Amino acid sequence: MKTIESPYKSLNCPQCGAALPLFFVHTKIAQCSSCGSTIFLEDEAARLAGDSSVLAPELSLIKLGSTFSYRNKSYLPVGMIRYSYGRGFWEEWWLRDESGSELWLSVDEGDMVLEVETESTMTPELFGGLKQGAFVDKEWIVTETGEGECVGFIGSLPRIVAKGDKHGYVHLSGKKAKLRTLELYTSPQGERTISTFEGEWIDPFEIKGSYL
Amino acid sequence: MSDTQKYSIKCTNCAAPLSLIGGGRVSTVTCSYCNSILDLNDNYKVVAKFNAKERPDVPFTLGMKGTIKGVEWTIIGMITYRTDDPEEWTEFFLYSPLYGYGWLVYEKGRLSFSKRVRDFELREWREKNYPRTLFYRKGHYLAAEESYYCYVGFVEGEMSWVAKANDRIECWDYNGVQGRSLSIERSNSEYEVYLNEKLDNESVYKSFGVDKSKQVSPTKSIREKLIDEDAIQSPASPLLKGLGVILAVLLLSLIGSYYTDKTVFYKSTDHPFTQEMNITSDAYVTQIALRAPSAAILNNYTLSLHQNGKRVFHIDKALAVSESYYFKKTWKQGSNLVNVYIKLPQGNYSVSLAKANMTGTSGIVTVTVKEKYARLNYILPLFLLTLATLFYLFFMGSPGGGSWKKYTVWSIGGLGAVYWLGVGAVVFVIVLYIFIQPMIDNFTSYKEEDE
Repeated sequence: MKTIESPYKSLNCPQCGAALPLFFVHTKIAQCSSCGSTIFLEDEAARLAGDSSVLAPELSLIKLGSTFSYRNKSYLPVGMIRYSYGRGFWEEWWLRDESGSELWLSVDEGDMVLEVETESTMTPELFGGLKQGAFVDKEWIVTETGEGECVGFIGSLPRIVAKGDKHGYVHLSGKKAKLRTLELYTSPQGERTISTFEGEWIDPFEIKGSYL
Repeated sequence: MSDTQKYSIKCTNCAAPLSLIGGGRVSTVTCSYCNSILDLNDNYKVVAKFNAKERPDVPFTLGMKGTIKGVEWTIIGMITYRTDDPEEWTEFFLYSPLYGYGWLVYEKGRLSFSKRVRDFELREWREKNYPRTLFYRKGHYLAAEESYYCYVGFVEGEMSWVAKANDRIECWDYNGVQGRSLSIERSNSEYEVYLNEKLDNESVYKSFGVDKSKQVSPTKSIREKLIDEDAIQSPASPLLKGLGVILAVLLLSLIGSYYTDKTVFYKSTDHPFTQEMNITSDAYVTQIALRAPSAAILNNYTLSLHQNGKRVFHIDKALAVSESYYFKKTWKQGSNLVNVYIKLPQGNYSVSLAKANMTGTSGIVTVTVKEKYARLNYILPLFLLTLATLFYLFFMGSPGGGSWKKYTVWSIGGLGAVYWLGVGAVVFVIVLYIFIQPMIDNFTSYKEEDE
């Protein structure tokens, strides 16, 4: 398993001075692993945003900062957002792979989907009309719709998230066992944007890592 | 790493205490006391009820914990299916905080582990109109039979969907190798695919703490024992390993028989002669071949072998005799070729060809002596018998005879025996030098062939 290291110089937490490793240049928010502060990252500067909510520890095959491998490729989890869907929750892990690319790993009760963000052709108007079983672009079929509420996060992330943020999601399945996720976000100003992710389901039994 | 969070609720029908440990994707719980199905996504509303008489007698119970594939699972629910045949099996819903959900399938004492997979090309499978054969994760799978329907008979504990009595599910089963199979299930309009792997009963029962009196294991036929090499915990059963070694030995023996022998004497003449010959190895047997253009010519010649002035072998049209063995008959009068297999110790011999009657028919006679000769007569029938047995086991010995195609994959899997060729090579040497050789000593005989 290859070691994945940060190619960037670390910033320091404005609260406690601890190092904040950066794995992507477009990181927007980070949680200090030392003091738990939430820090906004702006133009290579760190600005204190306040204390983060503490996430309850949950058993997981994925651990922040601990490289794991899947089918001979190594991945480093650099951040995680936990979402609640009512009776349960799922986690979205922000990953950096060996080549420096970023990916998202969705973990929902042992069900894992590895995706990369792609260009979105979906509009917020169309998003609202998607129902389970509907076809999208003649290729994708809607398998699940729902709403997630942010419970908290750890590590660093490419977008600003806050506890209580809600977003709609749609899961689709396509040919060649491809999976797609559409997410609808609404900014405080009311602007709605769609993010599209595409990838594949992965077998948790094929995950190998130092944590296991 | 196996701690599960437990939530307690009261059955909204009978107020019995119920525990929920199955994580966020569980949507119903069926009360173990009154058999009411409570919808966890709708304020524990009772959506249906099962008949307690339908409860099956099975070795596992809710709450049991055990290890499968190195992961600790907790049984959080169970569901029994029935078919029109009628067949019945029970699936225990497993939960692991790390690996999610799985199923421990119990059918007539047979155990297997089943887990939903989402990397199967379901869309293509449907577009190809449910093909009889398919590939998944580099494995080849063959349809076990036509699709069939099964019905929900009984449910207890937690489930990830609302399962009511007599709910109908359409199933397609595909058999792979190494104990793996695929099940594709259609419930309403939703398709789900499960990858199943056979389990070793003993280790599962032990791991889950099933009482000895409740442990049920199937009586296995020879064919099933062979296939049992597919169990997750044991990649190859001792029986299959043994079979692989036997096959390898026989195959190598067949190949080796063409290369082990060495011609130590050859002469083609119409004149009587006496000539020296040296046997360098007493491994296997020595073949002495006598050939003439016609039976009349052969009948007029005799062949003798002497060592240190003592006759050790003689053959003519009337008798064949060696130093330690008296042949009851010699070549047929109509033959023009005779092969004699005899055990000759190392050493120098004199080969003597003579005429039985100086006025009899003369002609060219060829004498050939080969040492270290491995007779196919012993090996070939055994090899063919083993092959025939294998074919019977795989193709004819199945309970559902006639559907021979599904066993093709197993015979292909039999090629895995080649893996044991290395072991076979060692055994080959041991068997031929120690085991077969004395057999040939005891049964030294001759062979006739008409040309």
